[in-house]
Formats: sequence, C-alpha cells, structure tokens
Amino acid sequence: MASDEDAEFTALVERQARFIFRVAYAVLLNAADAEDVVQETFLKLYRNRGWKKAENERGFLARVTWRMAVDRRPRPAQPAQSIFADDLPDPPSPQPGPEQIVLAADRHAAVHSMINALPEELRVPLVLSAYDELNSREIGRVLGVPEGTVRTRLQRARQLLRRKLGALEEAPYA
Amino acid sequence: MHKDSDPDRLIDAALGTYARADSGLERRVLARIAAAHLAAPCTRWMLWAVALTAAACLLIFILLEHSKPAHPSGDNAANAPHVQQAPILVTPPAQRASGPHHAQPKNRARRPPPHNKAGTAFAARLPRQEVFPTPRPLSRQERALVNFATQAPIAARDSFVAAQQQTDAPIAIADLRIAPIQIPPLELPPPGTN
Repeated sequence: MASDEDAEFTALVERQARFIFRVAYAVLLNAADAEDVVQETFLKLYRNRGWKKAENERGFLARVTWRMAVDRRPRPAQPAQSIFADDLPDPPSPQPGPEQIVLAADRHAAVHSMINALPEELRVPLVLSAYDELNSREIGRVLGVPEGTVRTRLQRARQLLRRKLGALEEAPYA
Repeated sequence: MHKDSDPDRLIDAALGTYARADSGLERRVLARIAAAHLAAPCTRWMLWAVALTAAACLLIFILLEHSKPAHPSGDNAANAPHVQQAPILVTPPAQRASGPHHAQPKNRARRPPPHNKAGTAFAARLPRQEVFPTPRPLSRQERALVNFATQAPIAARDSFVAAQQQTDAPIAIADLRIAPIQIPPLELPPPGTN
C-alpha cells in the first residue's frame, strides 16, 4: 500500500474500524462474527472504491456494515427476553441471585448484558447513537426508518434499561 | 432527580465501552486487505486472459464462416451428392404460364420466402450448381414436342404455333347491352262502365 489512495484507505481503517465493529457487534452480538464483517466491509470498500464518494463517512459505513451484518445473521432477530420485557413485572428477589452478584461487581458488564438483551430494533439505534456518533436522522438513513421512529426507539431502549437498572439497584438491598 | 440521572450516566458510560474490539483490529483488517490485494491481480489477469482468448476464438470463427466460398469448386461440385430438390422450389405449371411471373428469372422465382428461416438455412447449405436448374432427362411430353418440332412439316408447325397463339390470345368479350325495360301504361276502364 504505497500509493496515496492506499494511504488514504489505511487512514480510513484506522479511523473507523472500531466504529464499524460496534455496528456489526450490535447486530450479531458476537465478537468474531463482528470482526469478520468489519474485514469484509473494508475489503468490499477497497475493491469498489465506494468509500471515496461517501459524503457522510460514518453514515455510509454504518449503512454498509449494518446490511452486511444483517445478511450474515443466521436467523431473524429474537424477541426480547422476557426478563427485560416492559410488560412483565420484575419479581422481587429476597436474596441476590448469581446474576445480581455479577451485576453488582461490574455494573458496566451488567449494562452490556442488558443492551445485548434488548431487541435488535432498539439495540442498534442505541449503539449508533452512543457518544453522538450518529444523530437520529443519520440512524434513520442507516436503518431505513423515519427519524421519529428512531427517536421513539431510543427513548424506549433507555426506558427499558433504566427500569432494569433501577430494579437492580434496589434488589441487592431489598 | 439524582436517582433518575444516575441510570442515564451509567447507560452512557456503559455504551462507551460497549462492543470494544480486541486490540490490533485495524492491523488485522489491513493485513486481510493486503492479502486479498496480492491475490486479486493474478485472478483478474486470468479472467481477462480467458475472456480475451474466448473473444479471439469467436472472432476467428466468425471470420472463417464469412470467408467460406459461396459455391464449391468444380471438383467439389462434381463430387457433391445429388440433392433432391424440395417440392416447394418447383414452380407449378399454371404459375409458370401466367403473366409477369413468367418473365422473372427462374432462380428468383424459386427462392424460398425470406421469412422462412429454416428454408433459407436449408437453401444456404445446398451447393450451388454450375448449370441451373439441374439438367434432367426430358419427359414424355417434352420428347414428343421435340419430335414434332424437328420432324413435322413446316405448315403443320406454323398451324400449331398459330393455334397456340390463338389459345393464348386474350378473349374479347363484347359489352353487354341491356335495353331498358319498357312498361306500357296500365289501361284502366273508365269509371261507371262496370
């Protein structure tokens, strides 16, 4: 990779590889598969030179990655697990279970588990919106849904996470 | 309020560390691309080589097909098997004797219709004859005519030709003239004569 074009592409990889990994992981929930998607995405971009004409670099990369990850997904998205569903009440636990012990030890890991347990339609916009990586309009373009739908899904995802976090905060001391 | 803000902060912090790739991701991606890039030119050139060879073969085949002689040489014509002419190629006698078709060249009159692709292909495969149409022995009627023309007296031949011309001459039909119908006026008896 000696030419200017290759140097440009190398810079793109170094700039966006982790973002692309995050998008792929949000769909596949598997680090190895997500890395495969990252490599395939960049290989495809390198071959067709599609990355050069992208106006919104992150939005373009997110769209390409999301499509490749969805194509790679072996089966349709599973519905949300019942323990995180909004319509089911959380049963109070008199004693902290193993899950709660782990959550208490590592809160971030607990939130990651909750994010993984979210339905894909809520999880992917939430991950794409993290740290202002993409705004609602850009996420809507990536996923092919209206901006209002993205906002609703983001609110819904945060609401579910808040509820679960609240339950976990109270449960160990109950 | 404090209780509401804590979960949001925790969620944002967790999202910041969510789905973190292992170190060296960029290096692995670039290595994969470099490996594919090294393998790609060979495959690309092979594809181009195969495509160009195929195109060249096709071009040569087309040129050879177009450069074939339209009719075989004399030896080939002599050795060529006799092909029975299809019935469609033979003009019926009634059509041969009638009007302007008779003046057309024979090969044009016997050519199959252009829309008949199968017939055209079949005709294209036929070897072109040096003498067209193919000589064949005279029929009984033709032999009788030859005998008549060579052996009959001149007067008889002239009368035969005259009779043939009379037969071929168009028939003159006089115009039909129909006189208008004359209807005499109806004569009624005067009133009161009854």
